[in-house]
Amino acid sequence: MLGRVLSLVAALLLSCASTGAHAYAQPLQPESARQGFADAAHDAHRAQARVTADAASESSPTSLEPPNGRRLYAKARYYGAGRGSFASVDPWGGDQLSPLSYNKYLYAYANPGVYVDPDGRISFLSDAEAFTSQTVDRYDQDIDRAVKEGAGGRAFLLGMGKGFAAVGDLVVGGLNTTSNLLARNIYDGPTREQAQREITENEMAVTNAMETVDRTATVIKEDPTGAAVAASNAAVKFGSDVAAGDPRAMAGLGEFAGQLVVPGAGAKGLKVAGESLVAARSVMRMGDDFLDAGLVDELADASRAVGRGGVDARHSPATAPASSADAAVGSQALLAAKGGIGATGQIGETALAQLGGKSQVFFQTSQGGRYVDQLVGGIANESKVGYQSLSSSMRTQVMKDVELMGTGKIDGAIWNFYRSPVTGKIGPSGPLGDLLNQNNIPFGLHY
Amino acid sequence: MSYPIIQPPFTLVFREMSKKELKDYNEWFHKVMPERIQILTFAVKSTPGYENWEPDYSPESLEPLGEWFFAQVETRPRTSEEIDAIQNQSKFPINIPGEDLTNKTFSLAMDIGMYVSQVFLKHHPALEWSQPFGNKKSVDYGQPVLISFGASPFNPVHMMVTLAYGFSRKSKTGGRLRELYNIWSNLASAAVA
Repeated sequence: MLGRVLSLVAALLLSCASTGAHAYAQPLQPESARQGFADAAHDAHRAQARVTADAASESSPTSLEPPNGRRLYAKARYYGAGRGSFASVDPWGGDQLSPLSYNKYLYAYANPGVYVDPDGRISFLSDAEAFTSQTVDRYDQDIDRAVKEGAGGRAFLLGMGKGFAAVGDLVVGGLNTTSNLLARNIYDGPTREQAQREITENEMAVTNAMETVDRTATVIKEDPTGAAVAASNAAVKFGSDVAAGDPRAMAGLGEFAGQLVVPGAGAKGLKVAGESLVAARSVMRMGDDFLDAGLVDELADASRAVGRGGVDARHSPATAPASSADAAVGSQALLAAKGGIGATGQIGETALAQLGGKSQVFFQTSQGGRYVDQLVGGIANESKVGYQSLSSSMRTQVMKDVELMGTGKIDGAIWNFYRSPVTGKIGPSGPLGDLLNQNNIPFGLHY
Repeated sequence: MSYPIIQPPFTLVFREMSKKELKDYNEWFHKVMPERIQILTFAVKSTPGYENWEPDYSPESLEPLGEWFFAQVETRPRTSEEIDAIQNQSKFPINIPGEDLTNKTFSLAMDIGMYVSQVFLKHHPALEWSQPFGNKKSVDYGQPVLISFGASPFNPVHMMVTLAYGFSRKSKTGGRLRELYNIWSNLASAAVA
């Protein structure tokens, strides 16, 4: 039994170490680019849209030129703020999965509320807001300071660091959350379900990030000289700043820059992140075994260690950059782990049965998102382990089900309660049971 | 009643379909919609008692359509393989209904969903089609949905499949189709206000 405990701890610490490895190793989407040209372009694009709208509403001739009629430098080319599109052809060939990318002049697929085009070549989903955290805010403050001091090179590098931190923070933060959930799970059975959902969502985040890395790698492959020149320019600016700034701080920034100009660094971090997720799944399974064996305290200690390690990892120095070959390996490994696409072979009438139901289904409600454990025949099956009282979150969960029933998104809900292997308890508290009954949500006890 | 069941050239396992497949599915869905609404119209009007039903895209047309749909819903026994597959997806054992909808009923749900979507679009110009790709676990992932109802989109196929399940277990009656229209119509109006 001691051996199993040790192996579990080793696996947890391995997961923790993996988490740390990608803390700063993801040069996916330099935030500096977004904050600079992309924001200006967005503003210009929106201004142009407003001009157009005004023209339409007033039915009078209106110039489409913006107030200042400027052209914005967009790295690979210039953006014509007046026309709401680029002034020259896109140097990137385009992507068959995104047909709009074949349009050689569109800025952000003509949809700047959803996409950004940071360097005049590829448009990305502008979901960076979801990634923001204190780390990113700190970068913002540093950038402001650098700008006031006129340290352009430093601001440039800080901006790159900000983008780096934003994505890294997302993945590491997610894994930390998972670790904490695992720790809590020891004492509170139902959080296991939440932990599983977190892991699944993290996997999706990693997959999406990997796709971004692949796209970035495509750009660099098609324009390796441009990438090298950009790196060289960064080094020159960095050098000029070192003379005027704090050498130690600048050296730290140089580390970032060094990693950022090597595209494989981020991919390696993501590859490791993917491995961490696999390890987390393994831990979950081992957790089941330990719960069954009654080794609660050991698992709790180990899980807490991962939680602490995850936090430490977020503040640890960056790791060494990797080659772009790692990017390909990491990408392919993760995609392979995801399995083939469209391999079921069910085409035509027989596919219709797929509309019948599935597990872990997410519904949007006016009260927030709701994950249904199992949707079968229009019925949302909710699983609860142990004794559940009527907490505010539990009440909200019930009311979300009520909303889903009322709007016809589900035909009904059933709450299933299972005995906790830890406490031996099962079922809803009196008030929770009453609330379920009042809202016509039957519940069952599975001993 | 002569009714050709819809033949989607896709797996309909939306979570596992590539983005390109989903975009093709979206395109196919809109492309076949006029034809499928014609097929639905013919099926309804050829049913005794519904000869005078007119697909005029009015909210009132949903009342007889709901009654007709209610009468058409059929089920079949679930196979043991299907039951095992569902149970294997679930972390905990749950009670799985022994019957599922027939392919014909799923097909009717798709067709009626298309018709209902057109009723919405006719009476709420602010609504528009969308295809959400944000969350693979979402019940709407990669499928054609109507948006601008507020927080939640209206997935016509999912909504009608769910309604069909309600009909099959008699928890809902035909009037529920019009009722659903009113509920979502109010949401659309509130979103505009």
